Amino acid sequence: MRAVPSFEVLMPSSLEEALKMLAEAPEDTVVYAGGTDLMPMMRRGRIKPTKVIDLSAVFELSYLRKEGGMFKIGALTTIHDLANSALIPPNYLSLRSLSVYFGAETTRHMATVGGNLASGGERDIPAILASLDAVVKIASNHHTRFSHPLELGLKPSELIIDVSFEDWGSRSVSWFTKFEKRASNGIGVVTVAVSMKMLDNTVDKLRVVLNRVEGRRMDRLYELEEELTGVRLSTPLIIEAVEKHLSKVRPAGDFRASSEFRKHVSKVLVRRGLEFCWQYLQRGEGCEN
Amino acid sequence: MRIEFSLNGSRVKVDVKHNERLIDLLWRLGMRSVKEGCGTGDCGSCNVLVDKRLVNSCIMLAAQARGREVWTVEGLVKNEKLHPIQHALIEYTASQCGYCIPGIVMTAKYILDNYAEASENDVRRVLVSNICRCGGYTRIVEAVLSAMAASRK
Repeated sequence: MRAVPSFEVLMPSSLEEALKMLAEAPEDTVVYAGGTDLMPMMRRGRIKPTKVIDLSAVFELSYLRKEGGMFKIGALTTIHDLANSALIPPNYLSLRSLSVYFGAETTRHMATVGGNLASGGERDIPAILASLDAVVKIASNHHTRFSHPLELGLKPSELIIDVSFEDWGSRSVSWFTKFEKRASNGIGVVTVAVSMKMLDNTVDKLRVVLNRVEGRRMDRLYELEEELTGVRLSTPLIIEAVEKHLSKVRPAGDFRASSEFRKHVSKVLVRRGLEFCWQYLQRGEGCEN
Repeated sequence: MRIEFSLNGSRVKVDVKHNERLIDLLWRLGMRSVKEGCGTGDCGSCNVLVDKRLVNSCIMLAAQARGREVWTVEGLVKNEKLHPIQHALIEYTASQCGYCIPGIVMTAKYILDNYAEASENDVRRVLVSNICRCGGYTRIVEAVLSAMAASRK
């Protein structure tokens, strides 16, 4: 472990000021929100910024609201606030379950939605938001653009502003799970997010996201989604479809788990997710709102 | 750079270095209860309350504390009288080497303030924030539950 590198802290108090600072700052500048990823990276010598832009006083990026049929989550909303928001209906089990799967209470109070998205990789927020068809708003000093949670392509001059997704409605459920090697606060070996909407007992809309589809790439399982959309689900149908499409994934193995093991667990968790969502909606849970 | 914040209920004006962490600043101000374990936000030995939220002071920049309200174990002790959480930890001999205990006291304070009616399972879920290398978790959980029961009386 190394000492914290020497850097200058810039402290913007508005988004406008932050974007201006970012535009003028050198390339190695980092943006500091909760610091749960950045501080360990600095201590391990992976990054050595000369300037750090502290976003903790950019309060305008910390919000959660519903506008029309869209949920909007500001980039500086903490994971704790997202997981416990009274605005998010109970059928968004994936977001609620962040209280269980995402780090520890301390991490959840510091880590932010935007920070987790920017860090990318196999993190929880990109997986869940991709399964909800969310759109990420990104801005720099001179432009604004929208991007998919799994393909941000963030440039050094850009900041994540917010994330929005359309309410899937009462006949839907969003589910998330993580297989890790200890009870909690571990690194996920396999993570799966499933969002399902049913109409007249058939699947109207389905999104399945797996952390390692090919190598270390997190992605949607498009072919599986397509096969199960518009159909009336049954246990044999789910088992068959999962076997067929999950046999194609090629997760990278590492010291946490081999490729074969990851593939096996991926099959189990995707099946579990699909069965859970199907049964949840069969029972009519979540339909009261 | 000069910042102003509230430490254990008193206003403090202090010069901080740009790359100083909150834990470094607290140490400099004499808050020796705040312990550094992992330095990467995993172990919880440096847990403090910032604006009533439980955070790792080893990954928060000192500059980020400006205008905020910080509480450490020192702030829980009034007139040299131990806080009920500390009493419970002693009563249950929950402390072995003791290094993790100040962080656990702050986590317990956070539980008492926010989840006063929590079940044992929920208490354990929040205590995931703290690692005890001696492995004395059972007694720590019992002590925290006992402090919660005492505070409800």
